[in-house]
Amino acid sequence: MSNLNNLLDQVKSPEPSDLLKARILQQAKAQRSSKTAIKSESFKAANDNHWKRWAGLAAMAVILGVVGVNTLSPVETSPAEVWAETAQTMGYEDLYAWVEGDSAENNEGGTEIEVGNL
Amino acid sequence: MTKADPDNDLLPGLREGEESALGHLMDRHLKTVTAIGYYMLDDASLAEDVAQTTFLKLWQQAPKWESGQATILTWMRRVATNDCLDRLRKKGPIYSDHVPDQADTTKTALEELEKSDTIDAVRRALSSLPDTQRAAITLSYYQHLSQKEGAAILGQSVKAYESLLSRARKNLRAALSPWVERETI
Repeated sequence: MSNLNNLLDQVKSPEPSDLLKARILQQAKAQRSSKTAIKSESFKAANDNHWKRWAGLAAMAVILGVVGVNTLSPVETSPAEVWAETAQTMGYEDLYAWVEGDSAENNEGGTEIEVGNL
Repeated sequence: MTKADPDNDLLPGLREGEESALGHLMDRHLKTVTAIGYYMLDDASLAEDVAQTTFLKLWQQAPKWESGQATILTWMRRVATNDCLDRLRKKGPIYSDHVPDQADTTKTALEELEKSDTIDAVRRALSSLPDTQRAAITLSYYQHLSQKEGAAILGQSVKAYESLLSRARKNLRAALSPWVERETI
């Protein structure tokens, strides 16, 4: 056994290089400062405008969507309603009602119109 | 009763993140930890990487360190040994960057050649051992740890560790038989 020990004794570990200690201390320092940086990252910086780019795009998409829907949506107002509104504005609503009512009667019942002395 | 950790004096500084405490700890143990890497990996440069990883792990863990458990040095030995075992498992055979020492002019060339041959043979024999056997030789022989301490570092029972060590010695003797026999004559 002692022979084996003598043989093992002949292999000597070299001394660590002079730079190793400095290298480890430098890494330790860097780790500590990166740890501090990670801590501060958990708070949002006031000037962190990373989110604004996406918020701007989202807002733009919403506006385009609303405008598009309004432009493409069908107009529900019928021509008859437009004419009735115009006649009302101009003060001829009675005449318009008479004409419209008369024509409606013609269409529905087919009764003869009494024109009178015209 | 647990032994007091001789490095306890550095613990407050390490917990506070004082680099001077880490510097003092390296003055005490850098050589010991680097040696584990060297005997396990047979490469001086990789051994320094192991030492760096070990000390930086301690630096990270120091704020959470609990006194009364393993000593700092025992913990570092465990971290270094496990790091070496991981490297050996991941990389397979590691090729050495060893440069033979310069010839000593006070000895004859034949003596020097014989010595160099012997050292190379021992290194080859160590490298040929299974990883855990190499770890057992490193801890028991080169780090002078008791079998109980070695077993604790490798996470084995003392009996299993004794058996591991015995197989390691047997393998080494077989690999180095020409040199062992020569010395016996």
